[in-house]
Amino acid sequence: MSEVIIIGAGVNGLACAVELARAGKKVTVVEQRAEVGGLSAARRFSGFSVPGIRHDTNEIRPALIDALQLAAHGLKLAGHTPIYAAGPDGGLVLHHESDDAAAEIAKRSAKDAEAYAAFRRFTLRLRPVVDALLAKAAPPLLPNDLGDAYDMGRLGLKLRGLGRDDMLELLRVAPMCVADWLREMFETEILSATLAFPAVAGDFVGPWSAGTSATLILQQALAVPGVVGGPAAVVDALSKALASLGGTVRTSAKVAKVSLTNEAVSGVVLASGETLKADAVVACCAPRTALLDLLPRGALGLADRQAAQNIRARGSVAKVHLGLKAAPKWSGRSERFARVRIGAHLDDLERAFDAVKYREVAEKPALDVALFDDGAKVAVSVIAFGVPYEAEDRKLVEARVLEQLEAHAPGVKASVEASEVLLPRDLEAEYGSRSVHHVERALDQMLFMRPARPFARATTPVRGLLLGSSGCHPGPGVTLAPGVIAARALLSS
Amino acid sequence: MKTYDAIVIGGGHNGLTTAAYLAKAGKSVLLLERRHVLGGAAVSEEIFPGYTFSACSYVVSLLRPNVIRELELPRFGLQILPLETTFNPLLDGRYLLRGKDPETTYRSLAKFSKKDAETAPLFSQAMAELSRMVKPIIDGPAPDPASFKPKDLFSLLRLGRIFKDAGEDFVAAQVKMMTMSAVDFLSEWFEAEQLISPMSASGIIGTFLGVRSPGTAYVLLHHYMGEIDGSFRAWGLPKGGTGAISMAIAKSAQHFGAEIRTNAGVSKVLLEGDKAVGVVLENGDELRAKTVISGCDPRRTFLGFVGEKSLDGDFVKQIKRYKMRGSSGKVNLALDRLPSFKSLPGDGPHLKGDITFAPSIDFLEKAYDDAKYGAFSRRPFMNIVFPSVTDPSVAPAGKHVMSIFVQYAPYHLKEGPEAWPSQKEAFGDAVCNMVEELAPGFKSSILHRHILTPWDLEKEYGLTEGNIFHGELSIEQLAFFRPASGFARYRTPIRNLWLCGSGAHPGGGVMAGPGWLCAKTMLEEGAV
Repeated sequence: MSEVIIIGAGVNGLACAVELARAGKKVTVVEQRAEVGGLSAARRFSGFSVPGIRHDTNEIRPALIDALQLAAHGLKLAGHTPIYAAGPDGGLVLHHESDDAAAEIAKRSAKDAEAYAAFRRFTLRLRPVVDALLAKAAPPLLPNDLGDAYDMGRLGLKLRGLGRDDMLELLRVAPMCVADWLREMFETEILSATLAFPAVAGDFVGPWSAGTSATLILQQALAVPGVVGGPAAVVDALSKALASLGGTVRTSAKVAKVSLTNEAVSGVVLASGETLKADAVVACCAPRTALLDLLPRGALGLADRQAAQNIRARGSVAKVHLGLKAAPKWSGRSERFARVRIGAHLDDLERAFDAVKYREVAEKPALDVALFDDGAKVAVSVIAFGVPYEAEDRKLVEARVLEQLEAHAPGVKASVEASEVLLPRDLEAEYGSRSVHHVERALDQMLFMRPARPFARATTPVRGLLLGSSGCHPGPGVTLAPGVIAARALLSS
Repeated sequence: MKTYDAIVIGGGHNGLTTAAYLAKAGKSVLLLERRHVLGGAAVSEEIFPGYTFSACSYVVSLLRPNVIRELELPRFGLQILPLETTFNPLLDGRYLLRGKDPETTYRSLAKFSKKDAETAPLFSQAMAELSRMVKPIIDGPAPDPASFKPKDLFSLLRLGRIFKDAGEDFVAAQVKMMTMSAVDFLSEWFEAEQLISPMSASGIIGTFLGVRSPGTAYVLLHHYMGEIDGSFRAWGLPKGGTGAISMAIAKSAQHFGAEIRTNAGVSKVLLEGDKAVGVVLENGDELRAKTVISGCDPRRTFLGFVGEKSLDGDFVKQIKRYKMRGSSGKVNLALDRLPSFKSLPGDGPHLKGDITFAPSIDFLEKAYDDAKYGAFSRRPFMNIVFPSVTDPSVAPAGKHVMSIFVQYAPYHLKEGPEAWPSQKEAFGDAVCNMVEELAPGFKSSILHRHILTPWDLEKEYGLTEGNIFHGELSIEQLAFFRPASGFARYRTPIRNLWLCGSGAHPGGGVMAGPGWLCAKTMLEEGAV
């Protein structure tokens, strides 16, 4: 029985391991941290607990939950959580489904309520194409054989199957910047800004950067209700599934090198000096780390090495975790919310990016906030957009995030009992990537170009080395797809 | 009353080109120009006595070689004088000088990075090859990916074949080119910011984007595509100014029998049912023709000359959302003497070429940020030429003209575009102060100053929102989307009304591509 080592026990590493174990492979997942889950592992600080670096699971592929039989290990889909966009006049509560959203949006603009429904319908019609695109390795740039030609032809037909209007609209809007596209559709600024947030946060772009609409389309077309228990529940179900299949996970095991014999992968060497033998290695860590740090120099040809060096993965978000004595009271609202966004104007997001460009911490970072309210105390997980890799001052970042919160929920500052700040450099040190997306989302780092062309279809030029992280097609988020695609690529080779 | 085969609205270089091609094919053609002078934005004007300015567009390189050949432009006076150097003064007193002589370029680059000096020729070669690959797309009508017509499927296949023959490396490079920011793209090749910054500036000319904005690498290529006598990336100055190109095309058109009238502004396209049958002039005269071709921008053509009421709602929506938003201005100066740059004092070959002031990426980004939030750049990016150094005919002996292309000057100021007249002088001052910082004493050499803001470009030259390309060159406004999906092949929803300006494929620049392809399409389809 051949052995496979998987580097990194994040959701993709675990999903890859489960898929391989199901096919009868002997798998060992090695994880540098003391616990499994990577960016999705729950994080504890001063008696509080937050989901970790990611707090969303609504990009998970239901087909993969089925394929990996995760329901049998307790994974359940939840409902959509409405998002409260804090802002003037009580802000806006954005429901995912247009029927629920209509009434709230119509309070500001009846036209926008209809436009939002049309926008949701459009992204839902794209779902079959997006699903087809995401279920498999990215289509090749040019067909290499009949199989490729067939796949590409099928995809082309799916695309044309959208009908002329939708297909042209998709081709038109995908390369646009979200600001232009959203403003074509909506007149309510806070609605546009709230929708734009996930299309820019974490990348080196602002809402005025071209190509961000493609990210928004993907995110919208993918969106499903998240899972009960959030990212940690996914990690838990995957771990249980893997254990039941006899897979091994080794924590506190940092990989120092991937070893090669006769130009093919023969195992890994751990930082402890221990050698593990394997017939194949799937790197579910950041692609730059795998290609540039773990591979022996010379394993990649000059052009491939250059392509790896050109992979862009600059950070632009910090994580701030807060423990509050009481739930925040939002100005002009009496409800409690589990999800909040702060950055009511597209310019707020753009200015946050401006600061990143100049290697400065934004004066007003844009925030995506998840709140976990156990009735008494409240744990808060904040993704703060507008913090460059160069940032070093944790206190400054915390102060600016708190000021933003205080502006919309007076009294928050006084209620802080515990806090933790993770700058991009902290994320790099602890989780192995300064970018929460492993590889920036950009049109030239998508599909057959993700993370870079020589490594785009889960395989690499090094025999026996595959890539299966968020930095690979189809991209970031708790989707499970990159890990499973890598596993399937290995199985079919 | 005479019924022409074709009436062309607008005497810019594209309108003139269409008129010339149609006349050459034996059609009776009348071209109407609103101003007293031909050329549109490709115009030479004696703004101050003795000083001739290329008031708007100031260098040429994109002009299609087949147009030069087929319209016999050299015979009608076209002469292009090459610009031999590119000079980049920096704020720290250093400079970069690139020229035709590879040794000079190497030595200048090596001051900043030896590696970059070695990479530069390879990069030029790669860009030339990429340009060659794009050329068939530029030199033909836009493909239509949604059509199932055999002819369209065939042209898609042909395009696929071009890609397949070029190989994956080139297709990948092309995808990068279309989607990346100029800075990211160049950073894959070079390390010295002193080089990346001025090179990336070609990616923002005429756009409302910053050098870090995705999509700007394409504009870089658009500028690389220029060719004179078949050599890519060769810029030049037409003798007598940019207007000399328009005048040569006009003479060619007249030679082939076209009739040209200036001071003849069109107020609307004359319609009978859904068919264009002529035009109405501003003085009320009606002129009739079997076809009407507009060289004006899509917004002016459809919302101005045709009118919303005569058009389908969806089409109107497309034209309204078509992004024009001008971002640049022009400062034209008459000088008593040439300036002396702090970084490279005195006279020299650096004054004979193109001077790009783009000292750092942050500098360019800050200039862009000003514009993003509705103000002109306090410290602007500038592209400068002294045409009188290369072509002494444009200024009195011993005196000079200076052309400064400036970015950013957003049409939409936060106070509204109509605030431009009150900010015009301040804008001119910001530009002159910037030059003064690089060349102390420069301001005392200014004899006359002529400023063009986007507002002036709209009011005087008819460029809606002051956009020099008749619409932004962003991916969603190129090829089969330019200017609206379903109408990218010069036809419009109005029967017998055609579009031949930069707002049609393949887009802006003194290229004459749209003008030529429009005429070619009309003739091939027997539309005229």
